[in-house]
Amino acid sequence: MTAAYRQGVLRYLGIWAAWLAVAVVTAFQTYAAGFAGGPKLALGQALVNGLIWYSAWAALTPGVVAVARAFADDRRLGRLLAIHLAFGLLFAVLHAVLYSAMNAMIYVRAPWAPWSNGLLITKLATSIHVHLMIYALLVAIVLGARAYRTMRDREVAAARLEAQLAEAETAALRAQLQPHFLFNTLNAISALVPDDPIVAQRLIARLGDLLRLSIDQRRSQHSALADELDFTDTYLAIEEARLGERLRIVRAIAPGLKTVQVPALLLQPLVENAVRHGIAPLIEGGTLTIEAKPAGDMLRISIADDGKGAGAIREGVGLGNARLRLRHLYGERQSLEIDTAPGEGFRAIILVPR
Amino acid sequence: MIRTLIIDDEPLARRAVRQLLAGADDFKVVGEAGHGAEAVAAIGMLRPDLVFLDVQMPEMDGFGVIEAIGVDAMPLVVFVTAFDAYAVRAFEAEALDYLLKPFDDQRFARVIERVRRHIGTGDGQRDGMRSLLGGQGRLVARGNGAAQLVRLDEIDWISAAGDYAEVHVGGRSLLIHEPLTSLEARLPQAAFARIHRAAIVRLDRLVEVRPGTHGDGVVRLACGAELRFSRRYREPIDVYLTR
Repeated sequence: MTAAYRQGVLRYLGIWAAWLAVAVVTAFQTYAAGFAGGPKLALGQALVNGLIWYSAWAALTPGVVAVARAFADDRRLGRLLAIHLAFGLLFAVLHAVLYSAMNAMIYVRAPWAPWSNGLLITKLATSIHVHLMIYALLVAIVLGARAYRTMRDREVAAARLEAQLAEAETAALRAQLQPHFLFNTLNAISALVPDDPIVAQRLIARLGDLLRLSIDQRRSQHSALADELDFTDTYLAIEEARLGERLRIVRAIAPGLKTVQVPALLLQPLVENAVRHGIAPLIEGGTLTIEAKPAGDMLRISIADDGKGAGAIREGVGLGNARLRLRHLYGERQSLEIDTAPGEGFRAIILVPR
Repeated sequence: MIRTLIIDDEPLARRAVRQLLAGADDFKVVGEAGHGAEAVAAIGMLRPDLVFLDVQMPEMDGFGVIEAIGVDAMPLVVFVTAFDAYAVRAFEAEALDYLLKPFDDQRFARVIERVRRHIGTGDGQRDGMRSLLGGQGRLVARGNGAAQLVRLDEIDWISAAGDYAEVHVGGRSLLIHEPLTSLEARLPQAAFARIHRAAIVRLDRLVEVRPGTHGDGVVRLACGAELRFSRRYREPIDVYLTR
């Protein structure tokens, strides 16, 4: 038995239990009303009448829920009212039919049954307002539960995105504070101090920028493409100083994309990957190519190196996190493709809405 | 004059060494090398008295350079490294000269002072280097391109991978460019045993031996790995179990 099936059965039993409770309460009320001058009924008969009346509603409830759900996202109020009025009337008729049928089945053999052929018409005529109210109540419960669930889902999704962003931040900071990077950078700066103090000063500023950007507390999920590219440039300025001519960089950013919003901290780890694992391990170094261009209503960003490449793509924390964030931010309207082979370089292509 | 070769893949790192050496009149920089292969060629051609040797370099790292040249033919070495706590402890233990990046004139002066003392004594550093690279309880292994010193007592088992040996250390695996058989000869016999054509285990890692029907069987190691042993290599296991 699948979990979904079990849940369905439980929900159905829940519906019946709720209506049963209503039926019992109503039956006792009808019985009690007999003492206060209302029509006198035996307790047993009051119970049977209540059960018939409300079990018909219990049988119809899944149908009402289905209708409520089908039109839950309709925002045209007039249309919505008309639809629900029509369905309300339909369910009222269905209830009368069910009720009469059950009445006939139960009471037809009992001589004291208050059965008549006119019951259907009578019931319909006297209680249609009650049916419409019950119908409205059911629809309200369905829509309310739905709104509550949507709100909770949204909160959960927001918390999840926050957590992934925090993870990306931690990863960026860790990369910046990675001992090899930090000490080698400091060493490179130190070498520049005597003869090129201006360049040394610039590199110190870049390292400062990089650390500041990595520990920025007020980061939002998105940031402008231009800002994200600045971040990678800050990092690349340092790597260029360290690796010298072994690191060659080609940038091809199509005009008019500067303000397009992209996920914050998504490009930086990919650029670092390319330099650290693609280009730096090779004596000859390699070329890093950063491209951004429109592709229909999407933005296509490609980060590629012609370096070491990899056989089996091991999706570490970085790539995995990037994938999850893209999915949670854009659903199916995104993609992250990796193209690599040993000695063939590594290319990551990201598509996001623009 | 102490003829010196500077080996580092980062141009600025070479420059840092060169600048500070300029202040020492008895040192003369005879060349620079930007990667391991270039370093091997330069050492062969220039015959320097001293090399400043960066440990982490692309393709062939510092330890690889020493292995390629051979300890006996190596000039005096000052290891230069940005960060590798274990390597630094090993340099300390073997009394080898090393320089931590980034460095200043004071730290550099101390290293230079040590070099002046060592350059006269000749072989002092060779024993240290030999022991660093594989004698006393260590192996040089490479994981993900970077050289690492591995302590023998950290190794769980070693498998053959063609011309390479794959060393399994606490869940990681590192490659050593050496066939299993020649590696076996360098390992202490009391601690390690060949159990199969393609596997060596550290005997104190054995937790279970399950004999098969033909004199072969399976051993389970403390790290959870299960390895087959063959009849031909079962003797060390028997001996270990009875002792």
